[in-house]
Formats: sequence, C-alpha cells, structure tokens
Amino acid sequence: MKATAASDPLPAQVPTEPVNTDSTTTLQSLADLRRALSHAKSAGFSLFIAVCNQPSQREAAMQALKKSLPGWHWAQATLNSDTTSVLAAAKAALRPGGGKNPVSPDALMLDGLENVVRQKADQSGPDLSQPILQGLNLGREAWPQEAPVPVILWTSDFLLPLLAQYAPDFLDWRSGTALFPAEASTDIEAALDRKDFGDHHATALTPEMRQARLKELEDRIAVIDTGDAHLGEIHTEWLVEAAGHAARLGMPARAEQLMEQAIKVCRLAGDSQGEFWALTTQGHAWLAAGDLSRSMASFRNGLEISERMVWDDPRNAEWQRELSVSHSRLGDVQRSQGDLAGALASLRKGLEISERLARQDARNAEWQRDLSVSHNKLGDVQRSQGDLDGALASFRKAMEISERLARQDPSNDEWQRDLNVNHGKLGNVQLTQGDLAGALASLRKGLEISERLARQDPINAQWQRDLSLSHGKLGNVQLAQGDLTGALASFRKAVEICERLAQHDPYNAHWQRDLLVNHSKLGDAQLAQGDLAGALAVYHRVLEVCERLAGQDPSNAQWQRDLWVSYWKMASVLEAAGDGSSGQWLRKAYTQLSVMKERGLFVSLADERLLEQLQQKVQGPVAAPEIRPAEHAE
Amino acid sequence: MKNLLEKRVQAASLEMDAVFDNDKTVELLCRMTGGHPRHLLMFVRAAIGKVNSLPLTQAAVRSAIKDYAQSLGRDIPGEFWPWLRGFQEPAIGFPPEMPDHVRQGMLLWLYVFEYRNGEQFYCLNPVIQLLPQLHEGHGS
Repeated sequence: MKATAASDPLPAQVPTEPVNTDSTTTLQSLADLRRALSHAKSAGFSLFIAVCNQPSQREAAMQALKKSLPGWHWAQATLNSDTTSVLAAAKAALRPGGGKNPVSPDALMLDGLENVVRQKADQSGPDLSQPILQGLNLGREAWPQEAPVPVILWTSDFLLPLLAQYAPDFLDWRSGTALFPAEASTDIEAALDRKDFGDHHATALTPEMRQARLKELEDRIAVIDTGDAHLGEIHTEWLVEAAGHAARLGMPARAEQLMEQAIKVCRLAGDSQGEFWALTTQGHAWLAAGDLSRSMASFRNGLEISERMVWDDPRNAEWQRELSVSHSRLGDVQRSQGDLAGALASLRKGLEISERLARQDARNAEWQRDLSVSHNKLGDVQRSQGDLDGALASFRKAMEISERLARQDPSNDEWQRDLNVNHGKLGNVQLTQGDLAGALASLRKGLEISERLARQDPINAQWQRDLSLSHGKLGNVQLAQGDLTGALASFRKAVEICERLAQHDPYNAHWQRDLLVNHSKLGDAQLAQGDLAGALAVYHRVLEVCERLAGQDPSNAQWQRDLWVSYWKMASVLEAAGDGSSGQWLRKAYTQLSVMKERGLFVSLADERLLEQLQQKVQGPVAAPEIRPAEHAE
Repeated sequence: MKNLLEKRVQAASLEMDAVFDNDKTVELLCRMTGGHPRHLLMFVRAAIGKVNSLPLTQAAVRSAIKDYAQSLGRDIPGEFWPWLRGFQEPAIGFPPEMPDHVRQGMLLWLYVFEYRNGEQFYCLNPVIQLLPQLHEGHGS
C-alpha cells in the first residue's frame, strides 16, 4: 500500500535538535491542553490525544483540566466491554439532556478505550486489529458532524501504537498530543493541585515547576471572563495561588499586586468569605516573608470582616470561629513584635470564643482542637513573660484536650501532631524549671510521634519542621545534662532538616530562622566541647543570617534580638580562644540591644538585666562579672 | 507546502505575517512535514494550541513537532528500529531482505515517505530524525 505521494522536493537538512523525550512535564502538558482547548471551543470537532498510563494520574489530570476551564460543561464517556463503536459512545454522551448533561457540553472526554481493546483481545486472542479501532478509522468522516466539540481521547502507551496502526487517519486529525509522563504520586499532586502559602505540599514544587505554574495561572487569569459572577471564586483562588508562587519565587511586588487584585475581585463581588480568606492568606504570606507590619495590617482587616459578619449574624458558628482564629493570628504577630501584653489580650479574646464554642458542642472535634490551640498560644506568651506556672497550666489544659482527641481517633494525624506539639511545649517549660528528667521524657514522646509522621509523608514540610524542632529540643536537654555527644547528634539532625527546607524555599523566613536557631545550638554544643574553631565557623554563618533578617524588617523584635545575641555569641567564642577582638563584638551586642530599647522595641526583663551586665562588661573590663551569652528564643 | 499554507491563511482572511512570526518558522514547518499536507495542517493546529495568540512562533512550532515526535517514538514497533537506523536516504527502494510487513508498515504508518518527483525515491519521515532511538540504538 502506498501511503504518500508528496510533490515537494526532498527536505535538504533537518534543522532541529533531537527530542528529549523525558522533558515533558505533567504541568506543561496540562497547560498546553488547557490552552489548546480554549482555542478550540465553539469551533466544532477537534481531536486531542492525551497519553497517560496511570489511572490515578489520569483521573487527577482530568479533574485538574476541568478545574482549569471553569464554566465549561463537560461530557464524559468511559468505554467498557459493551462498547462496539467509539463514535456511538461519544454521541450518547453528547446528547443534550441525555446522560448527565442538562445542557449542551463544551467538550468531551473519552476514556477506557485501552480496556476495551484489552478485554476483546483476551476474548478473541492476541490479534489486536479489532473492529473497534478499524471502525474509528473508517468512520472518521462522521465525527465533525456527530461530535461537533473538542474531544479528548485518553490513551496509554499500550493503546497509542495500536491507534497509530489501526486508526492512523483518525489519529492524524489530532490538534495536539499531550503526554503525561509517569510520575511519583507526590509529584503529580504537586504539579496539579492548588498550591498556596499554607499548603504543606508546596515544598514539593521545584522553582521551575513553580515558575511554570505561575505562568499558567497568569495565562488563565488573563482570559477569565470577569463579568461571569460564577467565576469569581475560582478567579480569586487563582490570583491567591499565583501570589503565593510569586512570593516564593522572590517576587514580592508581583505577589502583592496579585493579592490586591484578589481582594479587589472579592470586594467588587461582595464576597466577604473570599475577601476574608484572601486577607488571611496575604497575612500569612507577609509573615512568612518576615514583614510583621504588613502581616498585622492584613490580619486586622480580616478581623474587621469577621467582626462584621458576627455582628450581622451572631448565631453563625463558623464566623464565630473565624473571629476567634483572627484574634489568635493577631496575637501571634503581636508576640513576634514583642508586644506581649497586646498578644495576651488578643489571645484571651480568641480563647473566650473558643471556650464558648467548645462548650456549645463538645462533640465537634475541630472546635475542641481550636480550644487546645488557644490554650497553647496563651501558654507561649506566658512563657515569654516568664510566667512558667501559668504557661504550664495552659499547656496542660491543651494537652488534656489533645490526648482526648487522639484517644477518640488514633488514626488522625492532625491529633497526633498536636500531641507532639504539646509534649514539646511541656518539655520546654520543664527544662526551664530544671526538671531535666521530666523534660527528656516529654520530648522523647514528642520525637517518637514526629519521626513517625515525617516517615509517613516525607514531603510534608510542616512535619519535617516538627521533626527538626523535636531534635533541637531534645538537644537542649542533652546539653543541659552535659551529654555533649548526644546534643551534637541531635542538633546536627535538626540542622540537616532545616537546611533542606530553607534550600527548597529560600524566601520563607520561618525556615531561615529555624536554621539559624539550630545552627546556633550546634555552635553552643561545639563550644561546650572545646571545639572553638568549629563553633566560630558556625556562629559566623548564624551571624550572616541574623544580619540579613534584621535588615529585612527593623520592626521585628525577634530578629533584632537575634542579631545582638549573635554578636554576643561571637564575643564569647573569641574570648574563649583568647582573641582580643572579642571586645568589639561585645560592644556591638551592647549597641544593638541599647538601640532596640531606644526604639521602643520589646526588651524582656531578663534582657534588661543582660543589658546592664553587658554595659558593665563593655565599660569595666576587669571588674565585670562573668556572664553567659543569651540564647536565640525558640 | 508554503503555497498550501498561504491558501489556507487566505481562506481565514488573514495575512501570513499575522499568522507566522517569520519565514524561518514557515520553512521549519514545511521541512518537518516532509511534504505531507496532512502533517502540515496537524502541526499548525498543534502549534496554535501552544500560543495564547497569533502569530505562531518558532518555539511553538518546535514544541508541536516535539509532541508529535514523542508520540511517534512510542508508536514505532521495536522490530522496525534496526531497519530505520540502517535506512540510507534517499533510497530508490527497500533492501530485498526487509520483510514485507515491515516495508508495508513503513509506508502505511508514514515512517518512510515515498516521493514521485520524476524518479521514485524514499526518505525517512523528518520527525523520525529527531528521535534519540534512531541515533542511540534504543527501541530495538
């Protein structure tokens, strides 16, 4: 059989480099398919071939594709052993009012053809030249009339060559081929799912994937029909997600622009829920970027909305809950700013609402958990204020709730994580109170849980962070016990995890600070062991990060404090080495702490005392008492 | 092939300049079809899906051809690869030792194009030239 009688001259030379068959990504294929379908809408029949072997990946890709084209009406036909004609199945699925389609569909998904072919081959032998495929080829002329919409035919590596062999003319009508390479399930999730600031899977995205996803979202945003009220929610969702990617890619101005656009869309649509969500997400983004003032502004705006909603509908428990959480968020920022009194006031308001809701429905696990979180946050501030008994009481109340929830549903990972957090908080207070054995026992229980969770889902950044915190806290107790080898090992494990997280998400200030805190502890252990060179090297690295963060946000009391603590640590190691330059680092520490006080940033009572001691040491070198450097707060 | 494109663009009341970013893109498109009109239209349709708006860029055309190449790479049966690798083009015929079903498959599935510009000769589908399997010994 002759296939081609071409009239053009022989191609002289192929001007294209070989194809890298591994370079296609799920994300890119999805973006291409979405774009091609947008062009093909309302233009009659067109054929798209989507090649995807894994059923779960295919399902995820189908869902993501549908989600990427909001407002489209989809028809879907899953072919089975009863199917004798693909076109007949397509027609049935497209029939207006028939099947599940109350309106005329905009596009059709065809799935399951490979199963039909396999089943028929099982029944009739290995010859795969089946009538169903040949029918596809012979009946191709009828498709434009019978299926006048874009058709996506999902195939596999098994089916594609058979289509090429037995339905080559039908296949050549295609307007595009989207290949979905086999990927680990986590990668698929990362590529297809919505990724925003709070999504723990977000760390699975490489910068390239994030860049591609951002571009894809911006393309969608550019063509979305802003006049369609039904699309408001998805529009906001895309804008917020895009802002998250921009922020993580180190484009704060673009992120801010996108977030503002999202908030504007919600305001114009009168969508308070959406606006509240966008503002909250914006607040978290600023927090992650280390900008406390802007974070505070976003959370305050969110709080105003929740207050208004509660005022309008006082019986709406969901808004009551949002109001409670809003107060807590404000309290978190105030605590970071060093405004402990303000934080305490905000957290007490949140706690009051949580208590009321928890009393209202003792079976509502989420509300019970909210109460536990409120107690924990309150305990954190009490601890920062030096009220250890108050902190211990708050942490115990939180622990009681967490234990109850975990007992009721031992398979719930969130409850397990809460248990870990509570063990860690209790352990910290026990350590401060000098109960080393108690602290060790609490922290080991926490570590056991965090190890289990981190093993269970290695790409969950939050769980990885929890594991690093557990190791770090355990190291603190080991250091206090004089177990230097154990402490060093624990701090090294913590640093290793933090480095990975910080490397993957370099614009996340939380990870950067975790890294500096654990590095600093590692330096402390090395110093205690007499490894002065090792400690000095580590403190140098810590100092670099502290200087960067402190320069980034002068209003962040914690970061400003980190800087003087870091100067002091440099002084202490150099002094131990008999290096005369230690005095200059001590003076820097003194100046930094004095400036903080002058500028009205929060300085704790304990730090006030250290300031006095520093002053004596700087001004009266001989008579000055020996003092231990302060620690970076956790 | 270029004339065919011009006619099609004209039928859509457009100008070539508005549809393609430059002549090199058109040239690439035409060359990679090997002179097969159906492939020309298939590549154009696929390239349209690669851009948000016209004109079609060379990158979009390359990407569309790459998708087709990847799909073609999966279609070609293993036993065809040694014959494809050993194919000396332009050929005036197929090696006598090539089995009939391979020879027929080569033509039917457009792995090899038959040209009748005066003397009859055969060349590989230019897109197959892009596949690493052809050069690296995979797929056999």
